[in-house]
Amino acid sequence: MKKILLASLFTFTLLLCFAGVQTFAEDTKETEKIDIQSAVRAYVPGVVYGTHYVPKTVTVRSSHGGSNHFTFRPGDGKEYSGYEGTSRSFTHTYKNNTYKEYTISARVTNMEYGPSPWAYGTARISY
Amino acid sequence: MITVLVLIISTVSYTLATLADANEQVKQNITNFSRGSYDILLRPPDARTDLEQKLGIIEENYLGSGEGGITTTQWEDVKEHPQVEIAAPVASVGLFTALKRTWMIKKENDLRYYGVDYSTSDGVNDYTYGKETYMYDFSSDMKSIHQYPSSLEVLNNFFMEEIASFSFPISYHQVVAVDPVEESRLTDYNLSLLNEGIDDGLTLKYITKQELAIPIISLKDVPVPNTIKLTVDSLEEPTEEEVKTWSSKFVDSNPIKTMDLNPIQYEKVIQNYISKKRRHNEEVYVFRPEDGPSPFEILPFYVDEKGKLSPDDGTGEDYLGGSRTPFSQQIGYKLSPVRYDIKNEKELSVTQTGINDDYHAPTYREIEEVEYFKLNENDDPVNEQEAFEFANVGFFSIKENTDKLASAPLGIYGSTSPYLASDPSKKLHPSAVPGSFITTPAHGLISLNWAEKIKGEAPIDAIRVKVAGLTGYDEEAAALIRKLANEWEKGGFTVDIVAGASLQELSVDVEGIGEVMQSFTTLGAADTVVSSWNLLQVVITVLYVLVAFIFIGFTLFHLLEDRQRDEQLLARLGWSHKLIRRLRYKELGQILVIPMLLVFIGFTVYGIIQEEWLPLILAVGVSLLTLLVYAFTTSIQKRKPKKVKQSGGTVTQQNIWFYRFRLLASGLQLLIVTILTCFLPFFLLQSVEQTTQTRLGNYVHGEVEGLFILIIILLYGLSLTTVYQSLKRLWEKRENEIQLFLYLGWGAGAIRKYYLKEVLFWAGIAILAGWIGSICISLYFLDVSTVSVLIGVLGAIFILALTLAGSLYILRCLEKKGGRNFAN
Repeated sequence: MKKILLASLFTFTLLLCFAGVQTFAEDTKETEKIDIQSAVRAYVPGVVYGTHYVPKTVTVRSSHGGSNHFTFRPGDGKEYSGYEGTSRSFTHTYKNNTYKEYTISARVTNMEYGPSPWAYGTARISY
Repeated sequence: MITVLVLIISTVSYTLATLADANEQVKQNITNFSRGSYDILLRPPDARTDLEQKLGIIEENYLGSGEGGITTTQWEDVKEHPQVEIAAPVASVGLFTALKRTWMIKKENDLRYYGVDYSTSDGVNDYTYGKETYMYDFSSDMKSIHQYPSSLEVLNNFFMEEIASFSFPISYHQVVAVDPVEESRLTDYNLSLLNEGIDDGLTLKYITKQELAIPIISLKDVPVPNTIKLTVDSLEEPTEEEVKTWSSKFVDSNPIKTMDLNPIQYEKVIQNYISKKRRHNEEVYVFRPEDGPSPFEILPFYVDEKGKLSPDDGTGEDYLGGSRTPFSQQIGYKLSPVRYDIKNEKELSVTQTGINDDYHAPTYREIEEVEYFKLNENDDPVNEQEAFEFANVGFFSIKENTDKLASAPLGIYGSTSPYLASDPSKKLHPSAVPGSFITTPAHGLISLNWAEKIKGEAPIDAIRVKVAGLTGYDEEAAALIRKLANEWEKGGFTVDIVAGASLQELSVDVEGIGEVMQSFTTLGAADTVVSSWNLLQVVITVLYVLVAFIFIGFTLFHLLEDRQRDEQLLARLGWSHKLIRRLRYKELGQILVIPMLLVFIGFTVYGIIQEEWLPLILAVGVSLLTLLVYAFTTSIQKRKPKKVKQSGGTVTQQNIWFYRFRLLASGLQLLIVTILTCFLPFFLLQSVEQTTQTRLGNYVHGEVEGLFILIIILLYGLSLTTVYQSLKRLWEKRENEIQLFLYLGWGAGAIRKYYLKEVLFWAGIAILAGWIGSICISLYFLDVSTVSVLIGVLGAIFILALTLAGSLYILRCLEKKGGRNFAN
C-alpha cells in the first residue's frame, strides 16, 4: 500500500511538473534543417597577386544561386558592392610605394537566405 | 453749443475708453502670443556671444558648433525640478561630410567618355568644383582594360562591365543629439525612431556592423547641395597603333602610374591624343540638389529611367553596383561662430575670412578638423568601442517660428533663409562649402545616448526648459520664470529668459555678397512692446486731454462772454439781478446738462448693447471735469477788467496784454500743436520703430495703429479749430476797430499789417515756447539729431505761417463785411 501511495504521489508530481509544457520536436528539427540549408557562404580567393597602378580584378562567389548582393573590400578603405547571380567581379587599383599585403574580404547576401559571414583573403601587391 | 459739447464729451470719453481697450488688448496679446515653445534657455557658463551681450539678440541655430559643458546628470536634475514641464537637452555633435558613396549609370556602349562637373550655390553665386572629373573608357571587355581617368579615385569608383559609377561631391552637414522623448514633447514631433535599432535588411547590406551604426534621422528636403552635370560622349575606337603610341608616352607604359607620378605628362597625352577620340555627340544629364539624396542616406544611387537619382531598391534590377568608403565620418569638423561686427543696433557686418580651395567660394569662419576615432592600415577601426557609422532611419521636418509671433529659438531647426536686401526674392542658403555665414539647421538628429560616446563627458550644449503650470505670458508667469532663472543662474548656468522674445530682421553687410536681411531672436521683445506702448499711451492721453479741455474751456469762455453781454443788456432793460441769475442758471443748465444727459443716455444704451460701461464712466468723469472748467472760466470772467495802464510797450504789446485771456486758449493750443508737430512724429516713429522690430511688436502695433491715427487727427482738428475760432472771435470783437481804421482811411494792407504784427508776436511766442518745450521733451525721450531739429524748426514755421494765413483769411472776410458796412 505504501508503495502504491508513493508511486501515485510520484506520478502526480510528475504530471504537475510537466503541466503546460509542450514539446516542439518537429519545429526544432525543421528550424535546424533550414539553418543548415541557408548557411550562405562567400568565397574569395585566399591569395591574389597584383602590381601597384595596375587594375586587379577579384571574383567573389556565393554558395547560393539566385540573386545575390556581393560586397568586396580590397583592404585599403574602399568597399564595392553589386548585385549578380552566383559570382561578381570587382576591379581595384592599388597604390603603394613598397610591396604590401592587403587583407581582402567579401560578404554575400542572398535574396532568399540572407547574409553570409565575411570571408577573408590576402592581396599581395608588388611595387 | 449743445451739439459741440455733446460731440466733445462723447468723443473724449469714447477715445479714452478705446485707449483703455487698446491697452487691454496689448496686454492680452502679450499674454497670449509672447510665450514660445519653451521659456528658459540654459547653457554652460560664458556661453553668450558678443551679439547677445551687446544687442540682446540671438542668431538662429545658435548651437551651430557647441563645445558642450553640461553633463547628463545636470540635465536630469533640471528635468526632475517640480516646476519644470519639459527639459529638452541638445548637444551639437559636429559637422560631418555626407556619406562617401557613388551613383551609377548603366553603360550602353563600351567606348564612352564620361565628364562630371560639380557645382554648388549659396542662392546668389554659383561655384564650380575646381578639379576635373572624367573617364575615357575604351574597354571593350574585361580582358582589355583601356581606361583613362582623371584620378585614381575616379578609376576606383568606376565600374567595369555594365556600369559607370562616380562619387558624390563632398558636402558638410550638422549633426545634433537630442533626447527623443523630451524633444518630441517640445516640438510635437515623433522622434522615437532614434531609439529603435537598425533592422532593415537593405540598410544592413551597407553598414559595417549593426552595433556600430548610429540611427540618424535626416532633415527632410535638405539634399546634398550640389548640382551634378554628367556629359556622356561616344568615342572612336583607337587602332592598335594608336594605343601603342599612347602607351609609349606613359611612364612604364602605365597610364595610371603616369597620372599619379607625372600628372602634367598625363594631361598632355589626354589632351593631345586621347581627347581627340571624342565624337562630340554628347548626352547631358543634370542632377539638381533637390533630385539628389539626403546626406546621411546610406544607400547608393542609380540614374533611373526618368534621368533622376534613385536609391538602391534591393531588387538588383536597376541598381547594379557601386562603392562606398566605410567609416568616412571618422573625421568631423567644428566651425567657429560667425564674427559679426556691430555697426549699430540694426546693422551688422561680416568679413570674409578665407576662400575654399575646391570651389573658390568665400568662407566666413574657421573650420577645425576633429578625428573621432582612429583607423588602422586596412582602414578598420583601431578601437571598435569608439567607432561609429551614421545610418539614416527616417526624416524629420520640424519648422520653428513659422507663423508665431513669439520666438523660442530651439537652436537647431531655424530654417528662415536670409535674403538680399536689394532683391528679397533672392534667398541665401549654405552651399556645399563649409564656413558659410549662415548657420545651418541640424541636418541629422541622433539620440543623446550616443553623444557621450562621440563628445565625451558633458556633451550637452543647452537645455530648453518649459515651465510647468503656465498658460500664457503675464506678470505672474514672468515672475515665476524669473525666479527659476535666478535659481539656475546661481547654479552656474548661463540663463536666458526666452519667453517674451520675438524675431526681428537685421541688415548684415556680408563681404562678397552684399547687404543681407537676416532673422535674429530679440530677447525681451514683449517688455519692449509693453514699455513702448505704455509711454506712447501716456503721451497721447495727456496731449489729448489737454487739447480737449482747452477747447472746452475756450468754448465755455466765449459762451459766458456772450452771456455777460446779454445780461448787461437785460440789466439795462430793467431786469432784476435775481431774474437775470435765474435765467442764466436755467440757460446754462440747459447748455451744460442736456449734452451731458444725452451722452449718458447714449453710453447707457451702448453699455446695454455692448456690455461695456467704461465709456459711460469716463463720460461722467469728463462731464465733471467740464463743470470744473466751467467754474474756472467763470472765475476768469468775473474778474473785473483792470484799467489799462499806459506801459512802456508798443501798441501791439499793449493790445496783446489787453486781450490776453482771449488769446490764452489759442496760445496754449498753438503751443500744443507745435509740440504735436515737432515732438510727436519723431516720438511715434521711434516708438513704432522700436516696437515693430519684432514680429510680436509688429502684430501688436498693427492692432492699435488705426487708433493712433484717429487720435492724431482729432488732436490737430481740435487744436486748429480752437486757434481759428479764437482768431475769428478776436477779430469779430474788434470789428468796430477795423471799421474805424477803414473810416480813418487806412488801407487794407496797413490794417492787415497792423493785426498780423500782433498775431506774429503772440503766436510766435507760443510756437517758440512749444518748439523749446518739444526740444526739451525730445532730449529726454528721443535721440535728437540735426535732421530732427531742422524738421522741427520747419514744422514750427509752418504752424506760424498757417496761423498767419488763417488770420489773414478772417481779416479779409471782416474787411469785406466792414467795407460793405462802411459803404452802406
